[in-house]
Amino acid sequence: MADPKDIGKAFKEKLKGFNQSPSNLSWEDIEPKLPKKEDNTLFYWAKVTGVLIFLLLLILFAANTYNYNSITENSINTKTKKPVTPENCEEIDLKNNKLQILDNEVITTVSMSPKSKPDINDLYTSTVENKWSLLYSETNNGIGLSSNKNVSNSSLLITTNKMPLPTHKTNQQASSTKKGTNRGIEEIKNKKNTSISSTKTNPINGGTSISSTVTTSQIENKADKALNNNRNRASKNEKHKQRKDDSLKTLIASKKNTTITNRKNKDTLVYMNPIKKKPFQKFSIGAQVIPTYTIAPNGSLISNHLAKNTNRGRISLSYGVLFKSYYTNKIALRVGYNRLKLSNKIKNIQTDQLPIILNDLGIILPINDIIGNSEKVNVIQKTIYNEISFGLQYQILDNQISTSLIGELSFLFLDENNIAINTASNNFKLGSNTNILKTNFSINIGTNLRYKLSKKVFLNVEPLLKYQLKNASQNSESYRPLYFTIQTGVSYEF
Amino acid sequence: MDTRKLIRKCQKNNRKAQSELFHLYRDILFALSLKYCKNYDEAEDNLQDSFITIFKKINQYNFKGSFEGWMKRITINKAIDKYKKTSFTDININEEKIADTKIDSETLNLSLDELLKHIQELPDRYRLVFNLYELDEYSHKEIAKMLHISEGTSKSNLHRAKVILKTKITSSNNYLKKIAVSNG
Repeated sequence: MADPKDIGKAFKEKLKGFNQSPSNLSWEDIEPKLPKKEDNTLFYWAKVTGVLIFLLLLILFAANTYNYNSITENSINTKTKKPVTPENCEEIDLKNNKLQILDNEVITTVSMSPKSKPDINDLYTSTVENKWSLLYSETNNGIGLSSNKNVSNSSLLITTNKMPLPTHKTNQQASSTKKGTNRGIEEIKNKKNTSISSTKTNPINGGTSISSTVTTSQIENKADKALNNNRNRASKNEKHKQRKDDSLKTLIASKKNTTITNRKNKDTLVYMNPIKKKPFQKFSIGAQVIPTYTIAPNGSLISNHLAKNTNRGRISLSYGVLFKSYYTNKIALRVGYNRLKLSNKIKNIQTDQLPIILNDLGIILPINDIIGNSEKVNVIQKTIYNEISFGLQYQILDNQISTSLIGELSFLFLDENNIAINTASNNFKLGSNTNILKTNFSINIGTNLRYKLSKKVFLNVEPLLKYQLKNASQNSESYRPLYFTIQTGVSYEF
Repeated sequence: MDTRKLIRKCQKNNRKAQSELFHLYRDILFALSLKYCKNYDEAEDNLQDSFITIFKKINQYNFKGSFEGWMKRITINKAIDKYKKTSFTDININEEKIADTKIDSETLNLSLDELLKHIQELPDRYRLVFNLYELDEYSHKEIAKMLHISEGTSKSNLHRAKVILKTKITSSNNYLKKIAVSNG
């Protein structure tokens, strides 16, 4: 009789190398139930295409809106950078008496919308960037500014010798201003019938100072109203008048006087024809590297069991490209693509808890190989998103380093994610976290710091705070990642 | 084809490679399923579910450790998931009477089908614990975590499984002996 064996060992020996083919199960039964990769890819690109079409439509809509506003706008633009003087004019065409202004220039405009009262004191200075041309007459006694024909009902007036602004603080100055104003307007009125048409065709003639796209009768009305207003004002108390003048007018007047003194003694007639500005004339494209720090919130991407474990963000390096289209020099539309990498570490997970958690994700943990005898382990969660962002940027400072504010909305498409066990010596990849949602979106705010390296090449540094608006995991616990990025790169403008 | 290349192709969702992998490991995994399941049909269902999971999760395999072992764990987990959900009641057996679970190798001179049948007839929990501990070398600690039971319960279930198997094999042998005697 043979030695008795434990029944378990005996079964193991007998069943060693036991194989058997299934009689009813074949590959044809399994194949239809397997996932089709092609469909997923198609769905992914369909989503990307949809987002791009949406962005394109948004840009077209914004462009149309901008054009419409530029035509119908009746408001007054008041921005002062540089006075209009012959010295800062780029070209002087004596034959046609035309001036082209350098860079940013001062243009004095008055809005004459039907509801507003025309007033010679309501002169404002506006800056038009590089797009204005001037008609300049040495023989006239005033400056006439002509607005674009598209700007309805606007008549633009500047006086130099004859119509100084009554904005100085002393009584003497105010008085002289008033007289000058009266005289100027009376002269305008006297000569209005002859000068309006002739000035446009021959700016050198002796006619005075109005060139406008409005009709003769409109100009008559405006001149009458201006004269009446001015007389009324003259009758008021000087102190009252001083209080009424605001600081803006003072500034305008001081700049105006500077302009006047810089001019020749002869009266000047200047017609300013704004060249119609078109949006999206300037573009920028750039590449960037993006150090990203995940500010890990409470909760867990992996499992609710880990919601109370210490969750630390980690720094990872992302990269991307950014395209900008400028509305104006200040406002730009941004469209970007980033391959965004996020990473965080969940600390002090009980070893005996880990297999249960990972089993929920379909991950089988080879305990003996990795964990050994450790009681607690750390788990690193990494996610890689394809991020498509779009937004606006508004310039607030334009110095050596220009500064802008940024607001963006990003669409995030999950590309890769994996979980790894972190030990003292190594990281062991376990698999992917099936709880993470495939799509998400975030809101991004921050600033752009831009340094000019050459005429067309710029260094950009953009600290941005990004917040995912949707729960990133299928866990019942809320987990919305917040992360800080510094988009650093070089851009080229064209 | 090299197994590594085959796995790479399967990770790219290549149908031909998946078919090849299925035929390569089908018999091994079916035999494993037969041990963990109650009968032939359930074993086939388990094999099908296991292969679907394997192909879905094959991207998670990172070439660390045995690929066959990785597939076996998935197959075992599939079987465990199925029986873990069913309610289980401990059966009453006289363990003290049969404390010894040793058996003569001659007594175990049964065919593979008969041995398999005895295992399949064990109550679900006993069968799982017996297979995991005796045939696939999991520890009681690991079994306890997998089945969400205590280590003590795992040990107790294993012992009871052995007692049942010994009883069945002994009675089966006695029956065969009686038939042999009666046949002369």
